[in-house]
Amino acid sequence: MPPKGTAQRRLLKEYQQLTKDAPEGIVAGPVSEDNLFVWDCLLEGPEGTPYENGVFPARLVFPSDYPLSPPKLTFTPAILHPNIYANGEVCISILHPPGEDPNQYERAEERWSPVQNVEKILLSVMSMLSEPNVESGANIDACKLWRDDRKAFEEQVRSDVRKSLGL
Amino acid sequence: MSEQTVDSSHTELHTCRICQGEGTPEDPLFYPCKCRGSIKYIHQFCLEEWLNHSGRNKKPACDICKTEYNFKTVYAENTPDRVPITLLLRKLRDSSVYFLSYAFQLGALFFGCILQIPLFWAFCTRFINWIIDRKTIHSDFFVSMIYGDNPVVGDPYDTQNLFENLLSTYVSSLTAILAIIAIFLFLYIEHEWVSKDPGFKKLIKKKIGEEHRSSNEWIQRAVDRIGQRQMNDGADARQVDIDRRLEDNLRNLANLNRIIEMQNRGDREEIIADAVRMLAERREEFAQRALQQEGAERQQRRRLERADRHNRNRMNFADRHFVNDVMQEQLRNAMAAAGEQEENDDSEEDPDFVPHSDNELDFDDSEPEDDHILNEMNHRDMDFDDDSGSDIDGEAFDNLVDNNAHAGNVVQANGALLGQPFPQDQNLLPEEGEFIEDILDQDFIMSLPVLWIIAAADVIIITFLILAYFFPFVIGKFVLSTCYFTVALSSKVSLKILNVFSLSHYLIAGYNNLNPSLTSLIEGQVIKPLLSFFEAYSSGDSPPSNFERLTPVITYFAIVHSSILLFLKLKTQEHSPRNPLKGTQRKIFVTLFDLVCTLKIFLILGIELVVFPSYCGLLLEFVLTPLFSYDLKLLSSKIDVISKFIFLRLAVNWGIGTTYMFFFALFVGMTRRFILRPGVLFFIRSPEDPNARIVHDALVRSLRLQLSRIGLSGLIYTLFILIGFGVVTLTLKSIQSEILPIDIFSLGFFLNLAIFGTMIRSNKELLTKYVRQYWSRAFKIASAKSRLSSFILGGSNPKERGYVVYKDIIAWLRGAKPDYTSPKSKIEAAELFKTTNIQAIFVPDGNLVRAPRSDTVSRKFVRKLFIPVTKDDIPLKTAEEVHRYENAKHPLDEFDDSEDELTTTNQYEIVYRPPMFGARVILLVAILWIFAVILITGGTMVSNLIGKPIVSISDSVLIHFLSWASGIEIQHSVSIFSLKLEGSSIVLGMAIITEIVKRYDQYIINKHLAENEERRAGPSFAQKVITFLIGISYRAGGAALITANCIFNMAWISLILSLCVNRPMNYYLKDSITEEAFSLVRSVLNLVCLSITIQPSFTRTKRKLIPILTGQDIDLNDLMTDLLIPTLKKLMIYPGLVWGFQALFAYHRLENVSIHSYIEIFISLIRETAPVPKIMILIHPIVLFTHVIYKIWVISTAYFRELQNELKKKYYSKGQTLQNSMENEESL
Repeated sequence: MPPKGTAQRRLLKEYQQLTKDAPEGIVAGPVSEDNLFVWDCLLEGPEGTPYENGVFPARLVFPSDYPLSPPKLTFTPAILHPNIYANGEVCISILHPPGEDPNQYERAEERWSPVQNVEKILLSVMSMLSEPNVESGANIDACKLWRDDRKAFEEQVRSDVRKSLGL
Repeated sequence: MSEQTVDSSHTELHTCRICQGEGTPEDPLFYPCKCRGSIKYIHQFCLEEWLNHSGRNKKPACDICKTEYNFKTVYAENTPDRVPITLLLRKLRDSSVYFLSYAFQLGALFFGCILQIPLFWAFCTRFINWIIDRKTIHSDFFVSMIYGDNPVVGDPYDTQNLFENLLSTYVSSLTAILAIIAIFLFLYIEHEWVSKDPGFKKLIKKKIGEEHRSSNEWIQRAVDRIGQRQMNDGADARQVDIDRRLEDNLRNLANLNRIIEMQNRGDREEIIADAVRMLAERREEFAQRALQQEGAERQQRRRLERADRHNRNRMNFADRHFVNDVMQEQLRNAMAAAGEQEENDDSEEDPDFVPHSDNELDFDDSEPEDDHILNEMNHRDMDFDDDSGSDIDGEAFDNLVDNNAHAGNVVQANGALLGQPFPQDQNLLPEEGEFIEDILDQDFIMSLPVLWIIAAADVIIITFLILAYFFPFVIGKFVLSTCYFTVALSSKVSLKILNVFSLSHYLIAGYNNLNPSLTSLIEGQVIKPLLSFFEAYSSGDSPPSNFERLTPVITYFAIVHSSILLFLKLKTQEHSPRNPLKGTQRKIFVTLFDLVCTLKIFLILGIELVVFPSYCGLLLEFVLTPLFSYDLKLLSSKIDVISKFIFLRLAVNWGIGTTYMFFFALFVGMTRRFILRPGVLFFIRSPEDPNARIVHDALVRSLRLQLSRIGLSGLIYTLFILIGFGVVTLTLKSIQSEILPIDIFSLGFFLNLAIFGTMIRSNKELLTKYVRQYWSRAFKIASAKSRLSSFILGGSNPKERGYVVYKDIIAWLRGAKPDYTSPKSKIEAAELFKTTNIQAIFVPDGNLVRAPRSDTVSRKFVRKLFIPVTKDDIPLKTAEEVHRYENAKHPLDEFDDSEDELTTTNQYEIVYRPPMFGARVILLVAILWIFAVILITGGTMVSNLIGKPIVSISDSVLIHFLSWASGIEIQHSVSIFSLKLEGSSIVLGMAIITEIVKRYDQYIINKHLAENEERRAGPSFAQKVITFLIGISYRAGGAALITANCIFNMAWISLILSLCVNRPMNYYLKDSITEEAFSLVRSVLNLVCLSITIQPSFTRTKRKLIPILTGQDIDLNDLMTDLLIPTLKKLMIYPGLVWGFQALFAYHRLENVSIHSYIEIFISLIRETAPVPKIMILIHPIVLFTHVIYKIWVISTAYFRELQNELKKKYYSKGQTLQNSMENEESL
């Protein structure tokens, strides 16, 4: 079984799977048919959170050895969230390369494994939106705001959502 | 293979959890782990990829369910049962060569590092000493080099002398090196602590102020930073980028300008102009670089294409040497097809491949080095070759022949196809020494450059010695001789003056006799010795000693240190927080200050952690020596080994002292947690106290204060040890009581310690509980006696707030009770006694004070406490008085650090303080001491009395057995009742006491339970009897088994002890060491022997012991595996042990005896040492021989089997197949 093309084949499969029955609030697919390694995604803000009603575009970039290595997920534009860097990159354990975390924050089984797929990644991101993990935050300011002044945080997120919708 | 393949009808439904592809006949899906559902199946190839990728050293296991993957090696059909002998031999030869070279490397490492370094150190020191002394120590240069300061006795070149001297040189310089390394390590760690401590920064701020940068500096830095960023970003800058960046920079510059305006200082135009010029220059630079880069890129692309073409040509010859002629023919045919396929592949790969190399280029574009890139390309070439080459091979063969072989293992598959055994195929045999190279490359030890390590270590040693010893000596010597000349000159001058003075005085006064004598006194007592000392010193007539060598060195370091201190002081005076020190001088100041602080902490911690415990250990040794002997000498000086090496002795003392302090701390912790009122021990920092920052405190407080505190606690400890322990032991010694010394060297002590010690330890919590209860009662009594209950234990006891006055002695004797509710003053009482018939009256005294409520109280706050107040917390004295009192009692530290304490629980409570507080505290401590004495001596003696009868009887039985077995009369007196302390009895007695306490505890608990709960109806009488009988029989059986096992073990152990330890020791050491030391050493050896024999067996059976003794079910199988088989095994092992020892022993002993035949020695040995000679003379050698033969057989067969497997795997395997998980199979 040659290794070449595994990634393409798997991505194609995943794409087919996702188009067949996509979970609610998630739309994802390759940018172009020629290059399966870059996907555009649209995530709906989960209900009951300040992100509600928002639609957040994100970009998934797969490495050439996918699914051995995790893809990279970036929100374009970035959104305010404790686990999202200022450049929009998402910091979530499922997207971290396999192996033991040197800082011992995350257990090995929480990290990337080929068993995961695009659907699971996006679902985890959705749940991350509703439940930020401040313990291993990516955006320190957002973390602080979230922890110390929840109201202000939510207000800011809401206004961002409104702005993004052009309201 | 076929059995692992999953039914194809199933596979089509399932997909691989990695590639999501289906299983095919060539690539079936496996289910190797317990996972189910969509992630159940996996391709072997995908799994291997994933395992390679996740690359952990652990055993490969599923990352979700953690099941270990099970691979099974698949062998070719024609695999022979036995690997051909040539292969085996070659492998053996290679591995022995490898083993030898490994051993050589290890030996080189050992000699080079472990042996050479200390010796090199010693010789370097001696060489420097030779330069310093300007003469040799011994007659001859080489002898002085070899012997150093050691005395030469007899022929210096005698082997024995040389060896002994080298050994002592080695040991001493090794200690020196290790000590120096330890000190430096410690210093380094302390430096880390100091520089990270907030107190350090504060001190610096206080001394020389904060670091403010001038605005010019600031701007310069900002400009630099912009430049820096450009340099960094420059790597991927394109022309467009540069422009944008420049704009950014200019904006930055504009900002800078604004900042400068705000700073409103100095020649900003110039700076801006500078910055602009700089930026312009950089812009040009970038442009050029970008051009270059483009060129390089183009070049590389071309090279890539060329490489591709080349690669395609070479493909035909890929893997040629792996394939024999026939296969090559086939391969060539296949290549035609493969070539086509490859072109297709290429077009597919291109988008993936080229961008990838682009990335690569980005990294090394700044300087396009042709060679580097070429290498890179070659490397890529190879990769490409390998990958696709084998792929295509694989597909080719798959097409050609219908074979299930895996792609990666084509070669092996080919061999199998051809039906030729591989070893005949010359191409396939390993190249000469292939094994070795393989392993050599991988192993860490083999890859170490020994020579370089040695050279580096030696250079370091030389540098260190020159810097830390030679230079300081030279400079210190220079200073000292300067001093000498000055002193000599001035003293001669002063002598002259003195003479003149006295002469003139004499002339003037005429009669004063005193002055000449004074002059002569000064001359004789002060100046002459000084002169002669210096003279002797500088002329070097006296034999060189360490004192003379070290004085200049110490002088040098003292001068350096004091000049550093002077510098720091000067700078501190010059500068203040308002006038901060800046620039390089600041850096120097901070570094030096760091050094000084580190040294200070080193001194304090060194005293606290090393000197102080060692001192305590020495004292303890002094007071505890009577425990073991009534001799005058200290304990450790009796043991030859320990008294010989001063370091060992220090270490022993330190160990004793540290242990003592540890237990003392445990005791204090217990009282603090469970007994005392919180806040009583505020002056002893609790380990939980967040304010206890050892380094911080040591850093911030003044040295003198700390030293005086250490001295104070040293005094207290001294008193504690001398009085607390010394009174008991020294009294017993002085009355020559028969209780001491403890006999810990009796036969079964360590055996009992091992067994019963474990038993006692397992009940630690219970014992702790009861000891704690004892202490809390002791504290209650002691504080009631000294009327300190309120202060020490908290709460309020109005009866303690005064004393009782009795009418007369009779009243006191009759124990008349006063009326506590109506306290009277003393005068009133006197009147009342006269007027009424009241027998006793309560007279209150003392007062209420504020006392801290928590042990973590802040130091500053404590100063405000301990003032007398009324019941309603109103101070009895005025604020001014209070303030004066505070300052008088607690002078402020040099540096008030209380402001940065982490937590301050400033709470106080009001407690009663009786008059003569200090005396009462001493009384309290004294009463507590009595309780401690009662607890310890009482406990020991009671245990001793309880355990003695049993121990004496069992000992005498054992000794009778031993004397019977060895045929040696052993003196032994049984004393069932005597006060003499004896180790075994104490341990046994303690175990019995523990058991009793346990029962008691259980009883108490049951009683409490019974109070709450009705007893359930018990079983009938007959049932009870039957259970009882069964229980008894079980117990009896179990006990018999255990006893048998124990007796067997003990017999063997005592045999070994007597044969392997005691007899040789008697022989070798009897003359050179005292009786006690001898038996102590022997005991330690016995302990070692026991720990490898009885302890494991005991721990193994301990689990079983309790069920057996309590009469639960006994599993005979378990007993077999736990008791019998280990015992039998011992039977097999011990003869070897005994004989090994004995042979060594005999060799030495019989050296001078004229027994020439080894067989004779052998037989005499058996005859002499065997416990039951006649039987043993036959059995011993047979057992030993069979044992050895058996062991050799087992080991060699195992080795060969392993070797076979390894070779088979290497030459005949077709690869590995995944094994499906059995558990998952069942679920299908």
